[in-house]
Amino acid sequence: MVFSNSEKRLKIFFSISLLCLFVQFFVYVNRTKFYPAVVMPMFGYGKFDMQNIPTTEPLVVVHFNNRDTLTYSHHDLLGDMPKPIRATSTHWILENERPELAHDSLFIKWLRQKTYMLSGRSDITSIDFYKVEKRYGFSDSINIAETKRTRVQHITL
Amino acid sequence: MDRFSAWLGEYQLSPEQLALVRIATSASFLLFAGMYHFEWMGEFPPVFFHAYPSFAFFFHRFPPVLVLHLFNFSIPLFAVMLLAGYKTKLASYGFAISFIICYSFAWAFGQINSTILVPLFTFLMAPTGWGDKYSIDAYLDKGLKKNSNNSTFWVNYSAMFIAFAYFTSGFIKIAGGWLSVSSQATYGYLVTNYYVTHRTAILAPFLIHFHSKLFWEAGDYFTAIAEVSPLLTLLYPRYFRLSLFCIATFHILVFLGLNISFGYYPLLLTVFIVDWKRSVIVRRTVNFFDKNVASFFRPGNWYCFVLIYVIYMVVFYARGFSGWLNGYPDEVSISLFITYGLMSIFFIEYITLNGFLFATGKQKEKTL
Repeated sequence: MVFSNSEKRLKIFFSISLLCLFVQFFVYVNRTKFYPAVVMPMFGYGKFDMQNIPTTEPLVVVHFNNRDTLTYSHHDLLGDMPKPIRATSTHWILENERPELAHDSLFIKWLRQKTYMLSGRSDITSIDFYKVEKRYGFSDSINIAETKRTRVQHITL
Repeated sequence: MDRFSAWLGEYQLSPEQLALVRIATSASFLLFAGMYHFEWMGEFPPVFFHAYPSFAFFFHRFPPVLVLHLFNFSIPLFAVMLLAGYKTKLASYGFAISFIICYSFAWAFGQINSTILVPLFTFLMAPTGWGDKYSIDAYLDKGLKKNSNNSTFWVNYSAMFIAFAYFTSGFIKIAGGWLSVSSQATYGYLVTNYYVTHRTAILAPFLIHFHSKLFWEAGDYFTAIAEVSPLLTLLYPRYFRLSLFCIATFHILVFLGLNISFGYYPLLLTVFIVDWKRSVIVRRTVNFFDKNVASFFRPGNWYCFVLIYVIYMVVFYARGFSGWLNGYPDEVSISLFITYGLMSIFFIEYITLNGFLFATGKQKEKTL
């Protein structure tokens, strides 16, 4: 066997490496909720009840000068959002509870452009960010029910 | 011989076989991975920057656009160097480290993905001597450099890392209650992907109306068990290969149902599925490379690799990084099916040579 001389050392090397991976996983990642960009690639999530699936989605309401509003659902927001902005989409902002990022000029700029293209209006006065809790039911047919709507951020422009 | 020694011997690849792995890895990256580009991060203000413990953790903002463009140029350069086998060790480390650095910044937005396995594999393969054959290095060193088989334990080491990566995914699923029969997580994933993320292609429209609890619960069990099994079977090559084949099948099902393509993974997993000692396909491929491909790396042809790099960069920059075809996910999906097909061929060959779950009498004799 080619390895015979160094086999013991290899065994120790492999064991210590595996131990380090486990320590990182259980202590570091699991407790701190940090996902280091070193060796943690994939994560699973919890279970869903097939009859009653809860989900949280973002919703953005744009207010105009004359009190008209325009509402963007999660689909509207993700649809043609450029990837860099998508990476920091409202969904992410809400999930990570960092609504201060909504102030970012790139996102607001994109929202202004989209609003202008959809409505031809550029007189946005303020923007509300909501966290909408929904339930998808699948007993006989698909039904979606909004269960709670929470405003997480209000921006005056 | 104890199990650990036998396991080390299982992936004792020859320099020619290691070179095949190198060429397959770099070629598939250049052909199918699309171009990983990072310049877009440079336009974001520091308020977006929230680095997790990683390289980016030592900074407080995204790198300037110019620096990110340099990475755009360097990663494909290292990939072409790997393909050519030119300064292979440097190229392997350069590719992996550039990749990890860039992604540590990309993940500072808060979204972590599973791209790490590609550079990790390249990093761990660097010391194996996978550039000693079918390479420019082989010509430069004039055959003086010989690969010592001692360094092939890095292949086993990569297997351990990949198995552990899947284990983390499966373990969290089990801890999160995926094995409880009262709810169906796989179906939950499908629903959120279909209605929230709007991934509605291929089999998704059919599956969303398929309400069999038994079917979806079986999906939960298959997913969770498949993901933890590579680590549990690591030292048992036969079962390890079976578990990796299940994982690759899982990736295909995820693509068909959830429209998420992990295009690069079956190729990585194939490295650990091939029976490197007895595979007829590998032997014939090595013969073919010896006769027809090895000479391609001679000095007169080196300009071809420069040309590949230039064409790659021009095409990707000119097409706005959208790739050879329609960009992601098209190319990644093609890659997924090609590599899954390749893996299936090697898996079938393995069970033909070694039996499926248990070795038959004849096969035991052959092995002995």
